[in-house]
Amino acid sequence: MKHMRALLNPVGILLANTLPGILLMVLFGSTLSVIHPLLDAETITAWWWAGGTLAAMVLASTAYAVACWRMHRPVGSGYAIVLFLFLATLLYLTYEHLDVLLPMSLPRWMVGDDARLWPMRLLTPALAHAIMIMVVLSRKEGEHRKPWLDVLWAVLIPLACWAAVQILEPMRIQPRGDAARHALIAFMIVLVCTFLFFLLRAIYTMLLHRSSGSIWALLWKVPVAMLLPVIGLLLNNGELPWVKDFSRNGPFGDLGHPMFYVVALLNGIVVCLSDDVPPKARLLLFLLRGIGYSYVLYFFILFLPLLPFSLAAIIGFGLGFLLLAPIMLFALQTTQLVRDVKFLSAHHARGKLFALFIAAVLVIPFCITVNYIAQRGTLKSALDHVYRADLSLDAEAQVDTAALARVLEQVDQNRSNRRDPFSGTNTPFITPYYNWLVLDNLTLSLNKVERLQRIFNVGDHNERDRRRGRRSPQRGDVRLERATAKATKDGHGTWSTWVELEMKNHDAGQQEYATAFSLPPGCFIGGHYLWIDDRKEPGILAERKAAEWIYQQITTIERRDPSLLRHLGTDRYELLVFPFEAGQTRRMGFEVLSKEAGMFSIDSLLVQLGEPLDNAPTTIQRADGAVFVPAHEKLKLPLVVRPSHQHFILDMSATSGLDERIEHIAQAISDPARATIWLTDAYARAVPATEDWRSIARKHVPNGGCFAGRAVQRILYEHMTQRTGERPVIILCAFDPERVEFVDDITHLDFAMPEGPVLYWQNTDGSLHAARLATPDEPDADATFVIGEAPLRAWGRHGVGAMPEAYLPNDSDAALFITNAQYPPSRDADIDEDRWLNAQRLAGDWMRLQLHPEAGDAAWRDLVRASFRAQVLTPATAFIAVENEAQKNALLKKQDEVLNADAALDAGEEELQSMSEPGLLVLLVPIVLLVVLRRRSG
Amino acid sequence: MNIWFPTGPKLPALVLAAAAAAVAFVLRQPASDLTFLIAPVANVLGWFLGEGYGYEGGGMAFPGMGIVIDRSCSGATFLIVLLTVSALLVWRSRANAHRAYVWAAALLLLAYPVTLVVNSARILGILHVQRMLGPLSSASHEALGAFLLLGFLLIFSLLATHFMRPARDTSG
Repeated sequence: MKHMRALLNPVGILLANTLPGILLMVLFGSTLSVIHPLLDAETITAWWWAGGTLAAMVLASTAYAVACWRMHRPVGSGYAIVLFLFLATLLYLTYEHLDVLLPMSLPRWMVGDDARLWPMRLLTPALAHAIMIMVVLSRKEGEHRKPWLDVLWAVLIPLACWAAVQILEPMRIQPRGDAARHALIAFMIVLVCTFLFFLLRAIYTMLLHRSSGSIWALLWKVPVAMLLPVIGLLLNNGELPWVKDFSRNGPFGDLGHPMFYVVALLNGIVVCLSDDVPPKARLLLFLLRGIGYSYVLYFFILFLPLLPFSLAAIIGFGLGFLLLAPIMLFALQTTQLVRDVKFLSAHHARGKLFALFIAAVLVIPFCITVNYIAQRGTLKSALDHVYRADLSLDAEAQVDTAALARVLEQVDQNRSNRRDPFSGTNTPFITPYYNWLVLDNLTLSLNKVERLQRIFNVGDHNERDRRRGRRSPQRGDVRLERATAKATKDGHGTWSTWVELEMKNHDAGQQEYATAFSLPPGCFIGGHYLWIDDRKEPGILAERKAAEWIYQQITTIERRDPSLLRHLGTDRYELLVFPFEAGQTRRMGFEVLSKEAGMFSIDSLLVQLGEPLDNAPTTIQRADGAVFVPAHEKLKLPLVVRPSHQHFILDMSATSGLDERIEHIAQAISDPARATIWLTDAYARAVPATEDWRSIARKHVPNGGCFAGRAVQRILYEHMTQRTGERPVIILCAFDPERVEFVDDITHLDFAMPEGPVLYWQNTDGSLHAARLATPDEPDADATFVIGEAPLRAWGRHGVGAMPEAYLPNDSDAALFITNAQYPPSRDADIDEDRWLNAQRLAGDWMRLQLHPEAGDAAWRDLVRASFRAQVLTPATAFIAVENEAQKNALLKKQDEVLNADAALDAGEEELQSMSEPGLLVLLVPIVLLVVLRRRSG
Repeated sequence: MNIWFPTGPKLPALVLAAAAAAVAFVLRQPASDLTFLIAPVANVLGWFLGEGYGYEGGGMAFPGMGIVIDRSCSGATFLIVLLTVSALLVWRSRANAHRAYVWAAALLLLAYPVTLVVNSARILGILHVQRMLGPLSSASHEALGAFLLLGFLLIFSLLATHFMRPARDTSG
């Protein structure tokens, strides 16, 4: 049949050889760019040889394809034979020496989980193409032969192998020496190739027979198109009772979605239908076969790399021939489509048929994509609600909870084993596509999934198996032995104090040193280093999530030498160093920038910042609305006491016990004019106590869990922006802390509560228990804070009775605060020569960002970049010191990934943007000109 | 016999052009109600993006996405251009009068759903590009919109021309 000769078209070389070859080079190039510092010279040379050989093969094949195309000649058998021999050798040598190219000592997280499968996946298409060319050229054009001889060979080879194994196995004959082993492998390769050649030629010969709709054709079409695919799915999904043990985990991934079966059956029916129908029905048949073709193509690509193992699978396991079913179905359906096009060409233009075919093939991918885009939208709206909400809005956008439940279930299922693309819980190719399209190749942590489930009251969040991250390194008895400081003052009056710490492991085995410490207000961290052997390794200022991820990977997998320095909350930091061997002493240091000399303590050791005898008075510093007031200046400010405004956060997530909660609140209200009730479920609605809030609460229909974090954010936002001169007193009336949900970084709003970052839980008996804002869901029985008068220092009060610009805690420390909550702030300068001033500016930006979560992704990126420019630690960044260049490369790669993540997961826009159409003439003139000119030229 | 009727496609084309002019006249009035164009597009976007929206400032606002679908992006311009181009295509076709009327009617009926689909696709396309490249200036996103709409118009013209081509005489 002439149309089967289409396989000899040189374009096939570009599709089967050039494209996968380039992709393989790109993938390995990207990996090599990260790991090369860890490889020795011999391995690098091996990489050059492997890459050079691959590049030469791709170049030569492409040049041959171009030459054939220009000369209008089909691909010849010489090319197929040479390529086949070359690829078989290359694949064999690659896997024989894979441990040289990718040593087992390389960290798995750096290489990627499926890097070892790339050569097999991406070189087998070219191998299969070469075999197909040989098969086609082995039959003369127009020659009609019976396929039975080929079928006989295809059956005899595995049978003979099976018999040989049965005879030789009891004799325990093993190849001795490398030469014998190589010879045996070469023999097996020849055997496999011979088997595949006869098998594919048998299929090819059967396809050449015209009687496609006859009962005889159905005898092999029904098994190939319907029975084998469905049995294969059942086997993989563990639905066949007698082979359940084999397929418990779905060896080829999760193919259990009902649509896999539905499409397999429908496509099978369409393939088996007779071609002898009128042109219109044939067109419909063509379209239906086109729709199913993407499904067939999916399994073809999935199973193609397993082609070389098919013989072994048949010998070793009776159902191994199922591996060949997708290949056979692909050949059958491709032939049918080519026949359809040939027949329909008499009735329709080829271009139209081609367009219809492309459209049909895209139907299933389109449906999947539309579904995923909708899921992405749902997830984004939920994340926006929790993390990027506009706190000024009373009416919040509603989230589709039913859709969210489905999305979270899918995300959770995909995350359960992201490291293994063929694990039983991942669907090959589709899961990575989902992770790319919906999650930007990042992940949604279990904590975040649980938080969303609790806030929107979806999924079985109470029954969840709590898998909390990886195992942390042990933190035994590692003590800080010594802390020294060396200070210098620059021309801007900024102290730069390098603090060096010396820690010793008094425990056995590898331990991690971890400590948290506070710096005085107005002090920032501007540098970090770690001593690794005799080398002082400077810390890298990196995006915080990327730095934390790298630290975790290194400490739990590699167990090498990192240190991490990060923000915990207002003026509070955490320092982690790993590893400490038994009895080992290690040193690390960090730089503190400050305007004033002072002291701070770390692990009960006192450290001096600046020079204690420095007598130069520190002045008030202002930068973009962020103000630093030294301690001696703050003491000059007038004292004021703010009247309390009670904010009752009423848990509306359940109606049970509501009356009781309402009554407790009613009794606790001291002045209705200074009290607000926040009806809180997944959304928070403020009702002044002067209104009939009881009736409103009783009529309220619960919608989700109790998201108290949102109510707290809005309360503090209102007090910071409206300047009422009142003190926010937050009282949670939920009875059950387990039902209440906050957000992680709520402690960063400490600055909005100068009297003390405290909130109160109302107990069932009406009494109050205090909890710190840093740990709001842990009522502190021993807490000593009480609701009472707390004097504050008033900043920027211009005249008696005027409202101050800011309230500062009444203590002996300096203070750093903002005088307006506007975001983005007006900029005096982008970057200053005074590093401390840059740090002050960034601290002000961070505070404003806490009041404007809606500024979203763009604001967060700006802050990270500004932190890089100023080289000052912010809550959005972290200092990390790593041991080698490969770890630095991996850090930069991960950081790039995090910073470029799609904004849809956590972004928001500031103003409503109109999606204006282009003007009338802009559209009309070009298209009219085109239509007129096209007709004239035609 | 009149050269316009009944043998040629010119009269149906003129009818379609008149419809385009009438639509242009009505839709370009500042007080005209474009809800019939805006609301379905907002529905489609809401469904695709999973976003809540509400009426705000003369259009459908998506606070979560920071966009608003108002008069300026209702698709009215595209509808007018589509009808005009359809008229031109019918005029330049070699269809007989009967087929030309059928085509004119079909194109007139198709114009509204095609406008909704294309305008939704345009906005989704711009949003997707913005996700990849960050916020675009209004000039950039109008340019991108022009590129997308002209692409759609080109495909539409090619398809319409193809289907309007008289059937080949296969009787021999």
